[in-house]
Amino acid sequence: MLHPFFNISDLALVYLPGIVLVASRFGRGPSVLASCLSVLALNFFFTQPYFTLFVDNPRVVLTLVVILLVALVISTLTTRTHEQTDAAQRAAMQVETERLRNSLLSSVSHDLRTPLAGVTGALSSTLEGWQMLDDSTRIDLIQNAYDESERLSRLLTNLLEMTRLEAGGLTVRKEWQPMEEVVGAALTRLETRLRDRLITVNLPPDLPLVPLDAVLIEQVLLNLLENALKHTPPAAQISISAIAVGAPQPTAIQMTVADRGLGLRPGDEWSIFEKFNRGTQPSGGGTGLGLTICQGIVRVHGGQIWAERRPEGGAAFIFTLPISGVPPRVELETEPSPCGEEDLV
Amino acid sequence: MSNPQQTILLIEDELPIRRFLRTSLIGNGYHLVEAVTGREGVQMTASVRPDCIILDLGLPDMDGLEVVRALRGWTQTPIIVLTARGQEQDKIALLDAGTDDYLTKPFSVGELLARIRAALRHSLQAQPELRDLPFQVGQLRVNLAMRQVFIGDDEVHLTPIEYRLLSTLVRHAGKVVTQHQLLREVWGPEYADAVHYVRVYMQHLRHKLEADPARPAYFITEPGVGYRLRID
Repeated sequence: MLHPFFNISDLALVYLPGIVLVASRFGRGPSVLASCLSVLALNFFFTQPYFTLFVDNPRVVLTLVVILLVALVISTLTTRTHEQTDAAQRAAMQVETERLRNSLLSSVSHDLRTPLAGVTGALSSTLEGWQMLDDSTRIDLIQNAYDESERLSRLLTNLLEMTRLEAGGLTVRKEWQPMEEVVGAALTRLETRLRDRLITVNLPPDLPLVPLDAVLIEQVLLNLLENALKHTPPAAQISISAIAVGAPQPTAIQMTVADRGLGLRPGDEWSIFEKFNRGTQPSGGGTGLGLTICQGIVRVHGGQIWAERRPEGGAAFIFTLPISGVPPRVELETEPSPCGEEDLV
Repeated sequence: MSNPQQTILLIEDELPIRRFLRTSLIGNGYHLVEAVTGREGVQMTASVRPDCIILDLGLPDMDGLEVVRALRGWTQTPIIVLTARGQEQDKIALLDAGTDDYLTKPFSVGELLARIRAALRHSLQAQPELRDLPFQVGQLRVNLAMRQVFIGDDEVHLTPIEYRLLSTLVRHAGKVVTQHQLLREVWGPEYADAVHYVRVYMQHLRHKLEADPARPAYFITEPGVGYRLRID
């Protein structure tokens, strides 16, 4: 036993760091309990008579009481410091949220007003000038109003998505699915705007199923494709490709949306993912939220997203989606037979 | 394509939307009746007996799901709901309750007319003599009576499951079919949780029937909800 060499108060010092730890991790209640238990343990194991809670020496009683008081004071102080740090962090976050909210408001009101002005302007000139305008001008104006209202709708979708991401109200419903289907859904949704564009899709036939939320990942692809549309000349090619990462069992899938536009300026690769950042290239007039949303969605899937400057010109946006868990088994039909042979109800 | 005799009941409380739909639907030859509340809509369904109902979900007096349930108790008239984006679970609940299709706001008149045509076509198909008419869209031709599938002039051989999946989509052509509905109808109730089967087999079907499977022209995915076989 160590007690012949150590004094009771020396031993108490060993207990104090433990109490500080408990106080900072679990708060006041547990730390008071830890203080009492420490004193009882000291009393039980290290004071004569050993292995009883009885103390025969009044000096030792005094020592134990003082140790208990010190322990209680330490736990109170530690808890209080901890609470104050928390409060300071919360206050800092509130300031940050407030700052973001203000910049969001000014950015949003500008971004919403622009297309809205387009709609109002086009429609009012059509209405007021109906008699004076020829058919093709009227159609032009109405088409303009329609395009601008679609842009307004896209802006609102992005804003809503951003709000949901920030409020933590985004529920992710992951299901195992082929990437091809999500890519197809995004391309279908952009069908009219992609009609005259050269799009190449390169998805290896043996690409594994990926656990993902189809609605959210479609949004990522939509935002990346819309960016590519906005920032590249009409003749520039846009390519979508995927590869499986990890062998023999794939651990992730890596998607790339690449374009042949102006590309990114050095330094833009990371900053464009920040909120309201539209990069330093001339902008196509968005909220600067699209990539931030992409990043948020990819992160809740446990993946990463980044941008690269393509050596031959243009930008590439790359994101990974981890393949975690056991892929579901799919028992395929053993003998494919011509469709006519199966008896159908 | 629309028949001047066909009556559409619009249940919608927002005047601007009613105004825009009124112009478009009447302009396309439909007879239109309007209701402003859910209760009025249910009553008018009984008195007017419309061929198709367009129901907005944000009604002041009744929840959209309630209206659908109140109607589905006694009528099979097709119902198309107008809904907001990002509410996939609500859409599935509505489809499970008997809604025929949905349209996400904002939508174009063209999309609405396509949904109406698909819904009317489906209620027409409830008549047995019209059920097995050959189906055609673009290069794809499906003859349910002969159990034959063609792309252009070439017959395509499908596995039994692929064919069952295709024929289910053809029977609901133009309308959205949920993943669970496909699982039930193609694989049976014991596969209720195996949604990935639908996805894997849809991929097979696309690789056999689509020119570019990653940019499908016929088999459209409605993310988070299901699939739709295009009719035009």
